[in-house]
Order: sequence, then C-alpha cells, then structure tokens
Amino acid sequence: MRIHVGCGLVYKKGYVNIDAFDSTVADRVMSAYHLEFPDDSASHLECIHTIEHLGAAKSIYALAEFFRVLKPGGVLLLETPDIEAAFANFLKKGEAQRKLLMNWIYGLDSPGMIHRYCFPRELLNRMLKEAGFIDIQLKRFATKTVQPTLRVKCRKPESYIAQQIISRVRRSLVDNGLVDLDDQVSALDREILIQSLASLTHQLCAKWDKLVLRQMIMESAVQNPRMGLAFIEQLESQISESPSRVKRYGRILETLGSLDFPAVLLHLFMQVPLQVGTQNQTYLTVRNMGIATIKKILAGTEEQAVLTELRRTREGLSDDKILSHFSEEGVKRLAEQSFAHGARAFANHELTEAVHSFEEAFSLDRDGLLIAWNLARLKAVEGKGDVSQKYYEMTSLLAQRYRQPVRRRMLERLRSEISLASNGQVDGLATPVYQAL
Amino acid sequence: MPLNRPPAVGLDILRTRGGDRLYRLVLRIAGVPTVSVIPSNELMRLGVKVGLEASEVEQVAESRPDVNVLPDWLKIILALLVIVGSYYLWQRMTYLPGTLYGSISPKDFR
Repeated sequence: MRIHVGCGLVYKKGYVNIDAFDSTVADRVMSAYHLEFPDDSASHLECIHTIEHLGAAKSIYALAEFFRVLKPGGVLLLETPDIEAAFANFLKKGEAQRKLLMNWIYGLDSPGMIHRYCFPRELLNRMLKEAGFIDIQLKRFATKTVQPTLRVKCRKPESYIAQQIISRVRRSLVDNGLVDLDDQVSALDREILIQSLASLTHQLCAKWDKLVLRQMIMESAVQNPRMGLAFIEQLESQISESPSRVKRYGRILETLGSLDFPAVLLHLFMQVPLQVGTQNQTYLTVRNMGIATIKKILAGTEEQAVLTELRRTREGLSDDKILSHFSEEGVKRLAEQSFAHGARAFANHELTEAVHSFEEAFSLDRDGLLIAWNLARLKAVEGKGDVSQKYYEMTSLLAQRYRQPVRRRMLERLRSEISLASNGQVDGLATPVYQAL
Repeated sequence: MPLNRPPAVGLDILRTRGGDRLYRLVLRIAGVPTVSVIPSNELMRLGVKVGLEASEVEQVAESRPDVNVLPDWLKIILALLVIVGSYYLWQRMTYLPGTLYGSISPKDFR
C-alpha cells in the first residue's frame, strides 16, 4: 500500500489519498496524526506540504504515525516550505513577491490551509531522527523563488522495535486522552516525560535491565502514572523479559493512576509552607517525596500501608484540584489561572475573593513576583499594614533576581508604593498589578 | 538516567549523572554547607500523607549549597563543570521541547 497524506485536491493514482479537511478527491478523510492503518502496512508514504499545517506538537505525532504504518524499509517522502530561504527572499524581493512569500510562510485563512508551524532544516532533521527514520536526505530546491521548498527522503529501518513501541505509545496516549493535541502547551509539557520514557525504552530494548525498568516506573509514577502504564503495556506486548515484574509494575502504575497520585503530589506542593523564591526546591522536594513513596511501594513490604495512606489523602482532595500530570510547568500554569482569577476579583473590588485567589496562586508559584505584589496592595487596601509590608518585602526579594537596570526601576517603583501604603494613601493601590514595570 | 529537571549546571551535573547520593557525598566531602529551604517538621507532617516516615522525609528534602561560603578551589571546579557540562549538552542536543525551535512551552506565551 502507498499512502498520500494531506492530498488536498491532488489525487495520486496507486495511492490511498487521505486528507483531514478536503474530501473532493480524497479516498478517505483522516488526520495525519491519527492514521487509520495497521502497523507495518505501507511501503511508501508521501506527505507533501502538510506538516506545516499541523503545529509543533501534532507534527511530532504525525511523524510517529508515519513511522508506525510504514513497513520495514518503507520510504517517507516529505516536503515543506524552506523557511530560511522564504525569509531571506522576503527581505530581498519587491512587494508583489513579498505577498506571495507571506502566503508561503503563513498559509491561507481557510479550513486546513493555515500554516501553524515551520520547520528549519536542523529541526526537521532532528524530529525525523527522533521518530526513528534513517538515511535522511534533505534537499533544498526552488530556493530563489517565492515557493522555496525542503524535500526529505528517508526510510524506516529494518530493525525498529524501540521506535515502534514509542510510536504505538504515542497513538495510545492520544486515543486514551492522556495527551490532548489540541492543547499544544499541555502536549509539549507532557512531551518532556514522554521523551525521557522513550529514552529508557531505547535502553531497555537494547539491553534488558530491571534497574532501567524501575527507573521508568519511578519517573512516570511521580508525574503521570497513566502515561507510564501506556509504555509498560507496549513493552509487555513486545518484550518477553521478566513478565511477572513487568505485570506487577503495570499494576502499581494502574493503582497510582486510579489514586490520582499526581493530584496528591500537587496537594502536598500547595501545603508546603510558603518560602518566597523556593519554587524549584519545593517542586524537587515534593517530587523526591513522591519517589520515596514509590520506592516503598516497589519494596513490597509496606505496599498496602502506603496505598491506604494515599487513598485517605486522595479522598480528602476536592475535585477541582485533580491534576493528571505533575510537572513544574503544569503547576505554574495552575498558578497563572489563580492569578488571573485574583486579578479579575481585585479589578472588581471583590477583595476577599482576590486575596483567596492570589494566596492560592502563591502556594503554586513561590517565585511569583506579581502575586506577592498584588497581595501587598490588597493588604494595604484592606488596612492591614503589617501584612502588606511583609508582602512588599517578599516582592522586593523577588525583584532582586532581575538584572539591572530593570531591578533598579522595579525597586524604585516598589519603594514609592511602600511609602504611599505606609502613609495610608492607598487609593492609587486599589488596582491589580499586571506588569512589574 | 536523571529524573526530569531543568538542564543541570555546576554541582547539579554530579547529581544528574551520578545520582543524589554522589551529589550529597561530594557536598559533604567538599565541606559545602547547605541551606534547608523548607521547615522539616512541616514536611514530616506532609510526608505522612504519602506514607513516609520522618526519617524518610528528611532524606529527600531538597537543600541547596550555600554559595556564599564556597571555597575558591571549588568555584574553579564549578566553573569547569559548567563549561564541560555546557559543551556536553550542546553535543547531545537532539529534538527536545525546551530546546531551540521545537521548544514551544508555556513560558513562551508569557
């Protein structure tokens, strides 16, 4: 079978022509990152000017899908705008050609025609290698025109077990809703764990080592046990080593997933006493505590006692703080949401609500200068001078992290505010601070 | 394999490449005092919630080297480690969110 991905209006005889948006000539309607073909089923796959329509996260998953469906030795032919030549030409050419180059760079504002990302040579090369392709030949052509193009030819290797496992895991993560490709920020946050587990998968496939497997369990358990389970399930189906150990680890990850272990760790993170400027240390401490818990479970002797404690903690959590992926970025993202709620409440003079939201934001981001600053203002407006002073001190401490001259200007602004607040002149402080300068 | 964390610099390279035990050992041998960032009694109370005993929490609480009192010879070694570590990271740079172009991350939208 030969597949033509993202065919648009171009029908290729002898190929299964697919497109996600345009069914004019397509044999089947489907996404490039969700191919409805079995593993190892295509000898040839063409993807001409399509991945630039997908975006940064989806293109990683599309390449994984291409790898999965290609047969060993199968060939991938891919074309995408040569963004370096396009920008260079834009600077040299006249207005008419610039207009055409803009379309070449950004695409068109029609369904499926917008370009969401572009791929410089080195990035495309790295992504193809990461997906598992070999013999990557990358050529530039039409470089002086208004449609400069990168053309890639590469193939799937004959031996590919680790990459096949990884591409199947990617597919299962999307199918089971563990990665939301429509939320690029969240998808790329999860990508950090995926790449780490992928690296361990390579090690395991090269040489079975129970310590590497254990590492995989611990690493995924503290961040996203369900994601770890997806890897374990694929490993279990592809590799015959230590089946009872793999099964047990899978069962542990399943239990931790059902107990929302990442949410338990988030709860711990928020409960750690607030020390300004310790975001990273707090995250690492909580993560280390999570790892220590997993080690106890893996040791087996106290497994039930630990799980009972986790169950009790989980039952005490409110449903609005259930986090499926515990990461530093994920925690900061929650902090930003709380900050936004706080700022809105502050702007509407709902002071109690604003204080509550900002305090929550601070428990999630201990490096949050603007959070401390807003709390300082709020407390000044509430007439709680001592508390306001404390928050201004925290803000000043965090301002020390900035480089000059930004730091100096920030501290000047803070000093003038502190002076106003201490004199009871709080009228000018009754609005949220969105920017430090 | 290191657990996920930002790229390591300085003494952290020891931690990521050699594990926490080696990291702590080097800090002890080098005589580098550490600063505990979080009150340990509070952490112990929280540790119970995930089935940990006080001694287990104590072992994992993050502390950081007190950089104000580092001896000069250690500063030189640290500088070398940063250079070597940077070169190492640069050499092994493959596609990874957080590096170069493929690196759209939440912070890019702030």
